[in-house]
Amino acid sequence: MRLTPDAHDPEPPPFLGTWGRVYTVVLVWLAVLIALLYAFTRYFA
Amino acid sequence: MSTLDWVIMVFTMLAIPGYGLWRSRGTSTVNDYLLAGKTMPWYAMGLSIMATQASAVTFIATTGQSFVDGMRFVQFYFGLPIAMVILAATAVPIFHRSGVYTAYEYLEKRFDAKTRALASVVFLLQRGLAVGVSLYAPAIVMSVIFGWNDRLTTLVIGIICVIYTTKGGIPAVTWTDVVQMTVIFAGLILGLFTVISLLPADLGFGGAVYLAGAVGKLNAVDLKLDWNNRYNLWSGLLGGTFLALGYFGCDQSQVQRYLTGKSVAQSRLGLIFNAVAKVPMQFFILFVGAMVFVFYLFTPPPMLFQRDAMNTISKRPEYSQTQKQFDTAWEHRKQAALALGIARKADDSSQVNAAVSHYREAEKEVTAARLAGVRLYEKAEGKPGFNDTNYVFLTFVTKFFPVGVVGLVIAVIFTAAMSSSSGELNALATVTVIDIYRRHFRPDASDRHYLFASRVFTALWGAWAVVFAQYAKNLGSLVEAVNMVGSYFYPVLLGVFVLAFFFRNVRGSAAFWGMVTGEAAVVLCALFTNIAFLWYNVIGTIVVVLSGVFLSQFENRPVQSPPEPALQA
Repeated sequence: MRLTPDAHDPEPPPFLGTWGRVYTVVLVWLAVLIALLYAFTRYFA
Repeated sequence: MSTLDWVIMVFTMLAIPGYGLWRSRGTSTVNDYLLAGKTMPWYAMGLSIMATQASAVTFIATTGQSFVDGMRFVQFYFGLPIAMVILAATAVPIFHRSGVYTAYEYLEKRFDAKTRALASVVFLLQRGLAVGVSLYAPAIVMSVIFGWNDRLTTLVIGIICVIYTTKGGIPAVTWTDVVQMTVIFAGLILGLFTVISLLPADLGFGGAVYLAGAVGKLNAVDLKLDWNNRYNLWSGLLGGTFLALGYFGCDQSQVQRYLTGKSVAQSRLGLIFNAVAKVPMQFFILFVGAMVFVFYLFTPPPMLFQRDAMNTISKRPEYSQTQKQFDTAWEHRKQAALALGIARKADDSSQVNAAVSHYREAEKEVTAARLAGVRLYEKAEGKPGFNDTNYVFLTFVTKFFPVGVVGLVIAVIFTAAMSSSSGELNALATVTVIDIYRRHFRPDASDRHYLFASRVFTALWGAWAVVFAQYAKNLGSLVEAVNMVGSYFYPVLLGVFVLAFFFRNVRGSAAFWGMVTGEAAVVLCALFTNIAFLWYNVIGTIVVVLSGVFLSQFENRPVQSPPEPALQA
């Protein structure tokens, strides 16, 4: 039942080309969400 | 509940595990049973990660919290996407390439056996105590609202959960989670549309949002840095990141989800899915709670949402006066809300400002009247700390939702309880078999033996969860204490994994004593400071890392080589 360690997995993401770009888009998405939620808070306060 | 509600609820609760069991057919090795043969696609892992985190309390309590406290709880999740990115870039490739079943197995490869054992025991203690509460929490709410027997309810959902988890292992758990999350999403969307359809016709959706905002229910982001304020942007971003790193990176119930991925890329995508979807999902749940608040601006709510508590205070001599005060205050607020709606349509800023001011005063009047009811109950019971937040949403659902939808919402609550519990049972069995049984008692048995042991330990942990849940009611504040103490362990686990991944010179004993020192720091913070609990994650992790690095200066043993190649994003 010992597992064989996976070989180095160079598989790129299915979009945006590199994982670095995917991570950047996720962090930008978070920044946009926070900005929208802040605007939402201010607008309806 | 009507017959149709019962049919929908029972069908949903049985059909989903049935589907999971069907998808798990052919499970014949430990690798299949504990890691799904590493064949899972990203969307199944992503939904399973989400389902394991989202317990029944998420849906019951979060909507109620928004009703009472507004939407600021959403900030708690701001750190999650950051944590997901960090884990996708670091932990996922390391765990995959190490060829491990558990996160703690990696710690022995990197440090030593005692560090692995300490981390495993910390996990088993924390998760083993929490798993019963996951089953018990929805049962107690149902018992108060429907008058169902809470022990029987716990037993039924516990048995269904234990059967499919024991029989099908992680493939059954994951595929069940996929359908459960789909039903949960459908239930939430249906719930929001139903709430909106129940609002007064002349108010409109825009008017409802406007009113919720006017009394501060849409307070999603607070920029003010306050160390004692549990939810603000900074505690969410920093404390939330550390908490999510601890939970998703070091808790086997989550690590095991993404270890089932067919490749590093698929596991990463599962985490990225959560990074993108989690904050909007929580916003959505909280928004439903805010809309329930607006609904009760125009429809009289009970003074207390817990039926037993209302029965208790109704026997007190002060009750009629208190209820009259509440009814008057509610009527004032209703008139103020209507006036605000008219002023908003007139688009006259001075008229709007005056109406908002009046409306806020009326809201304070209602809050004070409700508080009088709470005090009356606390006086009758002779104990402080009454909280009926968990009863707000289900009271609303059972009274106002159409036939059929009620059954679906109740099924959503129960499936959420089962999905989080099944993930926990599966992880508890895995750590027990891999990190304790195989490591310390039977290191060289056959695959068939370990498969059998995995099933036995899953059933045993399931039995423990059901029995613990049966007695949880009698434990009272201990349950709360268990949950609270459980959250104190993540910084220690996170700290030791940070040492493992990023500090190559740190050795086994230094890591072990770093964990002990970090736990002591967290306990001291909890006992002697007022610092909000999210910050414990930051403080505890930093103490573990600094202690580990410092103590490593005094160790002479050679450093064990990390078993994985250099990290690549």
